[in-house]
Amino acid sequence: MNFQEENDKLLWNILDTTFFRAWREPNKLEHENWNKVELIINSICNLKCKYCYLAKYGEELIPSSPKTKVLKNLSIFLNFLRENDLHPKSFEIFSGEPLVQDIGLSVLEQVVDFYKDERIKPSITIPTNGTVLLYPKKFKRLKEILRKSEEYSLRVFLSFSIDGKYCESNRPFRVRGKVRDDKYYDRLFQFAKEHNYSFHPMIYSEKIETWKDNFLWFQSMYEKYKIPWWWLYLLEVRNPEWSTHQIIEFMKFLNFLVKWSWNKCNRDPQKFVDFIFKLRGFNILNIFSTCGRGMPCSIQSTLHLRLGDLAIVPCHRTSYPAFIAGYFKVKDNKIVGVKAHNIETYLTILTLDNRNLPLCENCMIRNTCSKGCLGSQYETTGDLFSPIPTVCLLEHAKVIAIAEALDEIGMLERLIRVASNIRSREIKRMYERWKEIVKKP
Amino acid sequence: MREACEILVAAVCPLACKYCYIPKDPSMQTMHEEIREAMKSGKLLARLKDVFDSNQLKYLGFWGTEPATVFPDILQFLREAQKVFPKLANLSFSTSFIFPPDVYLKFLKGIDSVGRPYKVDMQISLDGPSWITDKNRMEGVTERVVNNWKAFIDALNDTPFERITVSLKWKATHSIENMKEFLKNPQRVEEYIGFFESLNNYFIKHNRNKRVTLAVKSYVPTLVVPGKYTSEDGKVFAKYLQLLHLKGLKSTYSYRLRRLLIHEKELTRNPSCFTCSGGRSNFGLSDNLTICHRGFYLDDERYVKAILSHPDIENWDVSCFEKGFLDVYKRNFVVDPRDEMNKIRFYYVMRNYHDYLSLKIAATEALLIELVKAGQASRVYLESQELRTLFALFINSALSCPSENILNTGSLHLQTLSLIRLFANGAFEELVRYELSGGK
Repeated sequence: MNFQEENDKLLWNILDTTFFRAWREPNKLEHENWNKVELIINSICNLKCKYCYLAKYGEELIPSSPKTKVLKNLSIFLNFLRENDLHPKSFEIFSGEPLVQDIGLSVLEQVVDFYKDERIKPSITIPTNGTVLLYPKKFKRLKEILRKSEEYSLRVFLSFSIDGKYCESNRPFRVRGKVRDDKYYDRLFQFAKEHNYSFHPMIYSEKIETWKDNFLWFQSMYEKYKIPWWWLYLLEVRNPEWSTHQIIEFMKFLNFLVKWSWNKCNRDPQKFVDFIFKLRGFNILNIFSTCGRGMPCSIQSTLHLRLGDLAIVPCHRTSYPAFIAGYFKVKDNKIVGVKAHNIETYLTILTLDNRNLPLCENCMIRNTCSKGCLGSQYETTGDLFSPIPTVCLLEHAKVIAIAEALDEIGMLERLIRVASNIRSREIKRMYERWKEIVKKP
Repeated sequence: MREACEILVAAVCPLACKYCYIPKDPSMQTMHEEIREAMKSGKLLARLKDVFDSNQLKYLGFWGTEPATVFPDILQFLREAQKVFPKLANLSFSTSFIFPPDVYLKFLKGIDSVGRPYKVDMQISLDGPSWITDKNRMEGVTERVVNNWKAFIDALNDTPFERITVSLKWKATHSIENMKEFLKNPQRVEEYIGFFESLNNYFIKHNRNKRVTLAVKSYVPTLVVPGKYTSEDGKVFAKYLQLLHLKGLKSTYSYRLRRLLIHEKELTRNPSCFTCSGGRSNFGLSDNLTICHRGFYLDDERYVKAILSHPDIENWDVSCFEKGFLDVYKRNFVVDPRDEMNKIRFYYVMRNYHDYLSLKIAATEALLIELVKAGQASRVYLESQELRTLFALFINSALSCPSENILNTGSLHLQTLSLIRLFANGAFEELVRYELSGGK
């Protein structure tokens, strides 16, 4: 075998002992880490969010491909799964905004139709900005696909990426004539309620000072449409542009969030403990729970497949040409192997324990910090693995702010006792060090 | 501490060595003239001042294709540079030594006359007898270099230096093809040793210039790196090392392993002791600042475009020359020396390479495990965690090259599969065995 042939064999082996193995035995818990597949369509979106990487690097990350090619490749991939008795537990459909594009809806429909008569059915998740409601024809088509999926007992789950009424200016439309007014939001929350869909707003540096009002707006909509109050997934945008002032505002918001949640739990310590650990504390407050993987995002648990060229990429955020792991090889419309490209980076990411990152290696909150996004790190520092210094500040601030607020409501020690893990000890140490520092004149 | 710089001085070379890391193209002639102009016009010196404070720069290396093509320009540059950098004390360059001895003597004499007691390191690239060197470099090169060497040593005696000292050393590079030749005819090892020893003896016997020394053991061979090695190549390499050891000759990797074992305690305290100096104390400088000499030419669109259009560049077996990786390098590791913010980012990322170990070790171990599972590395690395970790430490220190890492993996932290395969199929085991047995 020559160099390329050995690499091809190696990449196939890696896929076969991770993702393919998990898909062959979908009910085995030990394979849980590799049971997903993400279908990446393109970078086209009707919004131009200030913090979005696709707005800046989209064409390089996901080069455009004709619709026919995308759908043909999808068919080849789905047939490969069927012929090899492979059953991913879930599919994610990803693009800029899939649901306002014909191609996005076609991909969804093709997957739904494919699984109509399959014995083992995956779930399908689509992160969306929710503006499909403003496109009547497409919304009608979406609803028809959702109806079909229900008929086929296939769960399609939309996760709405909307940042809230007070942060709309961070997410302007590219096109004219579309407005997200109160009527729109009423329809959106009503739709979410009907289908049990949830929301995952991003907390960005710009407009951070409005987040208290923004959060209360979310809660008022949740109350109006009887959506459980804890069913909100908050995540800070880990881009470099956080200023000191904005980080302080972020800390203030976290302080507010802890106290609001405390009151929502009727200041009942056990209810609050359950909120943090069982209901996941809006994600952002749950700094005590450890993650079973080396990276908290889906980069290690998902095979990310770019449909336009069947490229296997680390994730949609790191699919720059250099980091492509390889490509599925196709002959006579069948996948017959892989052509390896960059196994070194791919395997490093798949096996990465983010505590081993440079700087994190010696950091005081190395176990607790959710760490930066590799793609954002690459775009900012030029190195996938070098943390962004302002994000380090942000993450330290996050731990301190949450610990301080918990201390103020008298719940810090209790949560530390309940968690009783490496993170809780680290949080305590960090907070104590913080108190020493702020006490100094 | 920034204290050393490799500057780009040339873009042409009369040879076309098989393993050279610089693919050649006619477009380089234009670049060559521009590089010379930058040296003469003061532009290069201005860039040097953008990177180094006057008291920082102590070492200066002259790099490119063949610096001997531009010795007069270098001398002119040096006269100006030493006015700016009072602590500059060490100069170095590498040459194929195919130019007439007079060219080198004039250059050394010229350095001697600029007025400072420089230590000059002169490395002579010579791979061994003609059945190696002529094959790797060009027909007839060996004879020319040997003749030049003898004439050079003789002439040194008539060229007294007043201030400078000159250290000469050999640099021998072997390819897998060369190794196969050794394995086919094991007596070739004695021929190889005899070849260099006769050159050493000529120096010892004839040289009377006390300001000139020769590192007589420096002909221990090194490899073409990172290459595109297969596991079969790794097995050949292992046998080649066994043969060298049997014949009493070490490779440079034995020394590097010994260094790692002796100074093992420094690994966690000061990991940068074990990485190459590129992007830490030493940098590469042309129009732009980069990690080291390996980044030269890659910032020139004309050159990159020309090389990418070569029909067989995908199969180039010395390294990877691919747009995606080149873009990572150019965007992130080629910096305008006047751009302060970008320089800070660059220094920060480079420190992350040099000052931290865990990521590199973990990544190499993961690759090694998967290679074993695919039948492309010795099984012992699956069975012995200790040997696996030692291997990872070795490959990330003895073969530390952030530039090649970027050009082959897109990340400065990640060692290439090629080198892991090369060492993990018996070679590293042989090095460990040899060291632990006290060199038997």
